[in-house]
Amino acid sequence: MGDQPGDTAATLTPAMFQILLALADGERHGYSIMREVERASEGAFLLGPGTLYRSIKQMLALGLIEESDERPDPDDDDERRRYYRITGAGRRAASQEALRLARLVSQARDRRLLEGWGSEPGPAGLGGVQ
Amino acid sequence: MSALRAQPTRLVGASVIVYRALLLLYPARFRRAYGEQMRQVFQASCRRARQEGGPAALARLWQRTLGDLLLTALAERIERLELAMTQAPSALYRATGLVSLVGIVAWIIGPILLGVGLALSGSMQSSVSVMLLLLPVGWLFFVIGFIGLYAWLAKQCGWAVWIPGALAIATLLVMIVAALYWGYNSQIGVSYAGATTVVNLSQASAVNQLWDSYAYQASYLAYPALGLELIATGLLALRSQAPRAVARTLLVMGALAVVYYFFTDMGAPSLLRNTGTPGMLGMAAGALAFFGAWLIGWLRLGRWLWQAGALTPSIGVVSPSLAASE
Repeated sequence: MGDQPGDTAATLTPAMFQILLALADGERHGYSIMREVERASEGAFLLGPGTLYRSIKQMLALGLIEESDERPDPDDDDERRRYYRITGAGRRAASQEALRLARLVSQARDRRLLEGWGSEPGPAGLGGVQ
Repeated sequence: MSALRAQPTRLVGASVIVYRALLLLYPARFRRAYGEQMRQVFQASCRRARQEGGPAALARLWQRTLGDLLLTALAERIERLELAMTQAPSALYRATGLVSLVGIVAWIIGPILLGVGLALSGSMQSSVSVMLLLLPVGWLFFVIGFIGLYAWLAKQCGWAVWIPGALAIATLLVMIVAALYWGYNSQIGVSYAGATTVVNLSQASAVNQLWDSYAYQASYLAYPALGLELIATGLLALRSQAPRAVARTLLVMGALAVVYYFFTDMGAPSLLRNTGTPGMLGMAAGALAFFGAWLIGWLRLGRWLWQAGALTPSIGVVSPSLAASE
């Protein structure tokens, strides 16, 4: 399942995609994922603990992420925390989803729906997509 | 000053305690896997909210978290329920198959006890009472068998099969109630219609006679009704992926139930009805053929259900032995 990014990408929820983005540059524990999603979306996307761990459960089952035994900083860490990292399938699924969104943004631009927003990031989620 | 600092800390502590209690809304398996991590995340979020915005920020966090918790707990519960429904049939088929086979035993033991009782005591009353109890017990077990059978068929024929299914189950329940009513009446010596012999009917009240008549008619009319329901089920099964042998068994059982009605003292032609030996022999032959065929039919259906429960890991997949029986 995880080897078919096209199929898996179709099952990605917005929360899952945000989590994959947060894990794209390194492994993180739950609270760190939550903060990174909040930071990257400039506060527009707030993950609650329920949505976070329900998504993690589903993504573990889909093989998009996996638990990590490594501790980035063992001395300054709560050993009860669990760390997660993105898998190859997860990276491919995130890429597929990003491409899908980029195509949608491109279509929106072609239909002049983005006029007036300028080069500045407008609505949450559109910033950064060229 | 320290009191002001302590208040938000207590609020965080109280919030975490309440949140931990609310985690009980999640299914136990999810809670065991992620409950502690969720508590940690919520605790960290509370501390941050307290530091950045005090009690007001904590209140906003609670507002968000409560909605998140309720929605995801509901989603998890629904997911668990769906999982249980897709896993249950395996156990359901097996259990209902076994219960059906026990129903067959009850049906066989009833007449045997009647015969033994008659041979030993010569008294019909107590033996008949035992048989009148065991027969509805057998029917009740077949009702449970029907639930498993129709659940299994519904996976292959679609939900429409539950229409004759629900009617068949309701019909069987009518038969059970009627038979128990007879059994009760036979115990108090009012009447015993099952053996086509009326005992002390003249002593019964008019109301009792009326209800006895209803029970008598309902139980016999139930046979053609049940037969038609099973024929409808068999026809639906024939048009589905269900094994042909199952459909054929249902059709035969249904047809026999319809035919049996004409061999009962209610449905028998007037020439045969209660006219001594020929009528009694006709009814006995009809009963023997019907009950015998039904026992064989249920033996097959019970075995299929048992196999479906034992061998099918998921719904709608016909086990190899079932497929081989085709």
